[in-house]
Amino acid sequence: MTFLSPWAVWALAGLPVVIALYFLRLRRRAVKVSTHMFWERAANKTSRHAFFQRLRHLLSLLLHIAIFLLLAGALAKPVMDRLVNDGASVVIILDCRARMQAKDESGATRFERAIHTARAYAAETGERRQFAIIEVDSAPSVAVPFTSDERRLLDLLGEIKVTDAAGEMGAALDLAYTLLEARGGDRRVILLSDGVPVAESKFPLTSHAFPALGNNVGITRFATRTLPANPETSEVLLEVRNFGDAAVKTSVEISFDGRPIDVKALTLPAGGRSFSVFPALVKSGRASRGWLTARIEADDSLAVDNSAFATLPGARSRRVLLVSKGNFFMERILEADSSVKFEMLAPEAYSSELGAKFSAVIFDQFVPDKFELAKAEGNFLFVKSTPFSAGAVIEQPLVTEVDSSHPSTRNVSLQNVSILRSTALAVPLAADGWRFSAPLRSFDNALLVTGQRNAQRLAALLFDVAESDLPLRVAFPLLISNTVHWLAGDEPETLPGVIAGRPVNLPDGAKVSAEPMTAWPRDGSVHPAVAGGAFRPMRNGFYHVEEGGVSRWIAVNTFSEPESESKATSASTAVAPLPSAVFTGWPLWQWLAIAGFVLLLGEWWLHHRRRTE
Amino acid sequence: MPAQITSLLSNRDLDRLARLRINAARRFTNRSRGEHLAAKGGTSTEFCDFRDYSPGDDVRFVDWNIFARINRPYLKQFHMEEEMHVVLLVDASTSMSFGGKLQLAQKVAAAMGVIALRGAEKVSAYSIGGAGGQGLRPCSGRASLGKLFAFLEGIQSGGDVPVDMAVEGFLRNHRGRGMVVILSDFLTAGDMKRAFNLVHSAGLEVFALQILSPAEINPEVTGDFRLVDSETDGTLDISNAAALLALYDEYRTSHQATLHALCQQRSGRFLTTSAAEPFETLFFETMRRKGWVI
Repeated sequence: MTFLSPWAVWALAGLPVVIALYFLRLRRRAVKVSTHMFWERAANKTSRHAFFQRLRHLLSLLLHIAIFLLLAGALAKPVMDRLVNDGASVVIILDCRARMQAKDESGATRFERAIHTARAYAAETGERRQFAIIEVDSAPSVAVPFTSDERRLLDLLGEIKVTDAAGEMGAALDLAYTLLEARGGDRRVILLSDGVPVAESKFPLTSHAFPALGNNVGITRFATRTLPANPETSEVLLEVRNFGDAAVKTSVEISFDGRPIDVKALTLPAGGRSFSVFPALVKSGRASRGWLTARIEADDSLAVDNSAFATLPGARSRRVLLVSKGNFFMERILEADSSVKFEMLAPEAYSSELGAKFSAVIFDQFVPDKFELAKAEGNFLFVKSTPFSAGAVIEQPLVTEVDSSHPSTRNVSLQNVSILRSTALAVPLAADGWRFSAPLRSFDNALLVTGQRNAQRLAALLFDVAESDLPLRVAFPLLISNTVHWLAGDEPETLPGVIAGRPVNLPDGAKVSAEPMTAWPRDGSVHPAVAGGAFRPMRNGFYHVEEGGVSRWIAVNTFSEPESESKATSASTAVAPLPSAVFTGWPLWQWLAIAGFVLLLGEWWLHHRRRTE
Repeated sequence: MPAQITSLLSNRDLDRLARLRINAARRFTNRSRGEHLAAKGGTSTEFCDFRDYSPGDDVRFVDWNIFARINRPYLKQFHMEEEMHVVLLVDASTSMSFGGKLQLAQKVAAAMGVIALRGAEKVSAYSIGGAGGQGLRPCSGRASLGKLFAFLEGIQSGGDVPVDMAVEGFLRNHRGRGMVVILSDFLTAGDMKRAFNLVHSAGLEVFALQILSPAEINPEVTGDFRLVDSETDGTLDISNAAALLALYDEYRTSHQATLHALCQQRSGRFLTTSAAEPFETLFFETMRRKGWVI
């Protein structure tokens, strides 16, 4: 059953009023008479009928309540679903993607015009024509199921907002087809977008293409990464594209925590794009938010892609302990890494309690006595000597496989590295909660073993670096730095941005701000946080995340060339008149209205025959 | 156009009343000479009967024509015309203010008083409850018409004295035989039997006219309402009055029949009328037909 006018449920609030009015009506009017001697005798004689009198009053009250409920029910217009199946069904697909923010010559956005058109359609809602609305951002969703309630449609159209997300229209059309296939009668799809070309539609389709100016210039990529050679600095990649038909001269301004740090002039030919790299940017300090903002000066049709947001990783200091009798290459590398506080200790001075006090401990050709992986606390890098059972010695092993996706071997090129010998070791099986992998292999033998147990990490280099030419290569400091930072718990320094509309999985207990921030707040305020979980940001900007007492910022951007392409790809189709529904029988509300009217007549008849007064 | 003698009766009605006499069934008369025929023989000019002559009779009443024809003396007898005391008892309690009952009672009382005064009867009048004068002392002769009219015109409704109590009250000070015209709605739960007995034993013939308003004869009330007694201000909640109308009518008719029987048992007269009935129709048609006046 469907209620075409569910707002009529509020009419039930009038039920107490009806009952109150009924009892007010029962208040006896005073009639002055010469005497009531005869009335008194008559009343005394009929007093035994008082019970039936009360019943008569109860019947009258029940009739009033029944009439009211029937009329209220009729106002709500309940319709059996099997009757509506043969009615006219129209699905409005409302494009809420970023492209709908593009403006036309009058300054109105596509979305504003789409809402205006949708309101005009909603006004044609009736008993014989039901509308459903699908909103499309990164994914389609049914905003309103089929209804004849114009108020509900208009309320939704007043609340719905355009997003900064990119998405595909095909899924929305499929959803519309699915909705319509479940219904009978005349069916239609109305597409309110920028002119999506629809090759073939299962149902009659009316496409409204809202035009916009085609002179858009937008940022299509904006990313930061830590320089592997110098983790203290980051570099920024910026891509700007001209989607217009004329060359454009503009400038881009890079800001860090609200302060401009660089400005670059750009000249973009028609359809051209520009790549810029801003090197040696400072990493964010402890007090900063790490906001990196790029803005281009352009008076174009789409403003949303004129700004881009990114975050820089926070600076954290790591304590690393090298337990060695002396390793020149290792010492030099650790000394050179300013993000690491390096300490050195002789093997005989090491005790097992030290492991937990450092971010990472490097054992150079040394394994502490009674070292057990099951009980060890801390993060360890073993060089040459490992806690694993030593196998045979492999002479001159070849580096055959490098897992570049692993943090320790990321950006590490080990081609033609000569290693004198290594220990033969297959990848250990998972044990005591440890899971192992070998990002560096020589055929079936591992050259580098990494393991992880919850937050605890372990790495083992199965050859002596002094017996290889690795220290002479660029890969060596990278390999050691990557491994040490990975052991210390650092995430990959390249922070991928979040695309608007795509879900971001946050751990339990995390809180994220409800609205993004796009400008540096002078008062340091942050938007109110909401609960975490599956978080899907729909607007570009910086979102504040609180996770276990640690704050961080997420940068959200559109970064979609189809969204930035403001020129319409297809024209509107001819607007056809909307179909009307034909009910297979009388709607239920008409029966209710008739029943209420019949009861009203009955009550009137009974009242005038003194049956229910 | 001649001026109205009284506001209660038109001059035309007064003329018509001149041709009427009160038709008392019993002849309760007083010793005072009047125009009303007494039950016993008298010396009036109106012939009554013959009887044998007895020694000592006044020879002036011997019918000499008969004596000449049959040679036996017969004595002519004549009616005794004595005065009758007509008491007008007008109920002016609050209940009489409904539906013009008091106005009709005043008119009937005035008409009866006019007939009585013109018939050389002694007339006294009392109002039960009400404002204004409580009574008109016994008077006779046409010269008393003005006093009678003034008293009756001055009666105003009010008070809650039951008619049975009022009858007892007026009898304490009353002297003389005759008749009492009680003009009331008799809507009292009091003992009317005792009142009528007292009246009868006082040598007064009862002429009781019950005047009811149309709303009392056929109440037009429906639904739920609260009755307020005009005299006692007591209230009575009535539900579904339509269902009670039959009972109401039954009780009213029963009460009326009781009053009628009480009057009849005491050789009195009882009549029920509606206050809506025109005075002329009531008095010159209904009351004449019922034998109240002739």
